[in-house]
Amino acid sequence: MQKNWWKVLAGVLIIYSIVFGFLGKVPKLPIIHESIRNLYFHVPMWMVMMLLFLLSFINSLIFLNKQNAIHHIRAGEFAKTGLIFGCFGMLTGMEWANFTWGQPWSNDPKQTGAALTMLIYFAYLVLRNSIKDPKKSGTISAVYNVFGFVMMFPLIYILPSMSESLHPGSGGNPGFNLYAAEGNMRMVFYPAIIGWFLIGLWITNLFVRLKHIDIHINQNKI
Amino acid sequence: MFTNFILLASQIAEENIEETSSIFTQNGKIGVVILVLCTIFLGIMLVLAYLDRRIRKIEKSL
Repeated sequence: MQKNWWKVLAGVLIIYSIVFGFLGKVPKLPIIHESIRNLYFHVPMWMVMMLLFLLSFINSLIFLNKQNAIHHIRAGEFAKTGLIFGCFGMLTGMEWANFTWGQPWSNDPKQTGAALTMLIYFAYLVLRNSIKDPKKSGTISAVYNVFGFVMMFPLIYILPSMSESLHPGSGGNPGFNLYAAEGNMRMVFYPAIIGWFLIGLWITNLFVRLKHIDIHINQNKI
Repeated sequence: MFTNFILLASQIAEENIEETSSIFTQNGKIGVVILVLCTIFLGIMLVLAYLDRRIRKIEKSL
């Protein structure tokens, strides 16, 4: 139990964010109305995805430095979990866009950038599995991961901020910071990010351990 | 005249959305939504805990 306190904490934080996300006070805004509550579910998904991609990037850098297989495995599994959160971020965002913008996909630069980022990481997973030599696979995919992570920032932040965008905080639109302070939304928003991030770490931990078991079984077969 | 009609229609629509959301909160239906979401999330937590235990058992047997 002592080792699992963070898993319990993750559960408590997310239950808290669900309950207070629906019952808490939110600012009354035109067009988005009560759908602003989706901020507690949609944005944390992207934040957690980016944090997990950051951990994947760090592990790739360590792998390039030390050539230890454990970092190669961790980099891949962090990217995999990040993609799961990315898919949920995309779904919650499309549902929100359907309500506020009238259609789930409106070729918004940020939407397109997020989709491209996910495609880059899907390609990373394909690249990892397509090279049979483990050392070669580790080095090539680690270099690709470094480029992929760096590319995420122009695609999600820089390019949408330079062009017309429907997203808040991009293309001259006011950001959500203004509203978040008004309705004490931060009290729910930040715990939601922490809770989902801990869930992401838990899922990655399971993936990494499964991979170790798989490697162990395959080595014994040979 | 037409512009006034459009403006009035959008105003009524906005009021209706606000009314619907407040009705949901007042009649307790929002509680059902919260309950369903919490149940789904707890289900996910239970699956993760189950997988964690299964993997630990396999790790010990190796």
